[in-house]
Amino acid sequence: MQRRDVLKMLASGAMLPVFSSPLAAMFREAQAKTGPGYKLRTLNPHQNATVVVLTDLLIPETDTPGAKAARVNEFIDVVLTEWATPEERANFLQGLAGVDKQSQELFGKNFVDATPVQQTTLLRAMDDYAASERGEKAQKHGNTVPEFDTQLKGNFYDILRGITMHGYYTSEIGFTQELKLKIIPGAQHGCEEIGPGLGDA
Amino acid sequence: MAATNSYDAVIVGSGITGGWAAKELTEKGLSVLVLEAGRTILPERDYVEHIPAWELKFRGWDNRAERMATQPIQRECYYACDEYSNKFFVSDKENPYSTDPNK
Repeated sequence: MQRRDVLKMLASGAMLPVFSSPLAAMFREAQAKTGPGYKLRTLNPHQNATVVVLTDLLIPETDTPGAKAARVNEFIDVVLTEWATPEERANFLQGLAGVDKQSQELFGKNFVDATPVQQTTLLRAMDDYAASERGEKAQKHGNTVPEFDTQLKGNFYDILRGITMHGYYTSEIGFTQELKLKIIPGAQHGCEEIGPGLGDA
Repeated sequence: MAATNSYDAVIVGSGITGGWAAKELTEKGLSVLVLEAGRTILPERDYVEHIPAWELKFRGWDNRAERMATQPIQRECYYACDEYSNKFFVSDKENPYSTDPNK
């Protein structure tokens, strides 16, 4: 059953008063993936609006769509809801609140209400601060098993940037339009006009 | 009396080497038995490497809580026991590792 069908059934009221647990599970599954109709489960509307602005400043729309169009905020909500530990979730939301706190101190308003220039200024300051905290990473050799589940550990800015990059480049928009990758590459184009290559961009 | 079969060669596991060994030996005319553990694999259902990352719930980060509960050791094979392919690895619960306490 497709998500669409579940929604149609729910809207029709056919499922009342309670729906069976396999169907409830299906409905949760249908909601879990990002896309139109995604319902936020951890971020409240204000937190979500802040995340949308932050991620879209990190990866703005250029000649290709940015983080907002790629719904990176929804991926972040999925991760915070189902992937993060309670501490990691709390840390992220605290970091998010910290952005508003700094914005209030600097500009007298919440981050989403600040001007784009003010927002960029604050984001750059966060970047600089995170950079000063980042130590030299120990050199890893050969077949070392990487440290697991570090995605939501460390400085808030680094976490936000990491999750934004990951969410964007694994989205359909990021993968097909920005990276110009194909799931099954290597089609044969017999008489292709030769233009500038990837390396010439 | 139970029927018995005998083979010239028995190959345990049809991985990349087992499969080739079976090919070579059968081509030489030997009678070969290949033993493979695990569940049946249907390519149309079980081969999912072509599924794009955006159709994975965790975009390749895997279901961390589930993996830590079922395959905390298997997942150390991080490049293979991932969101796509963890089903090809055994459950650590059903197949626990034991270690010599003196080592």
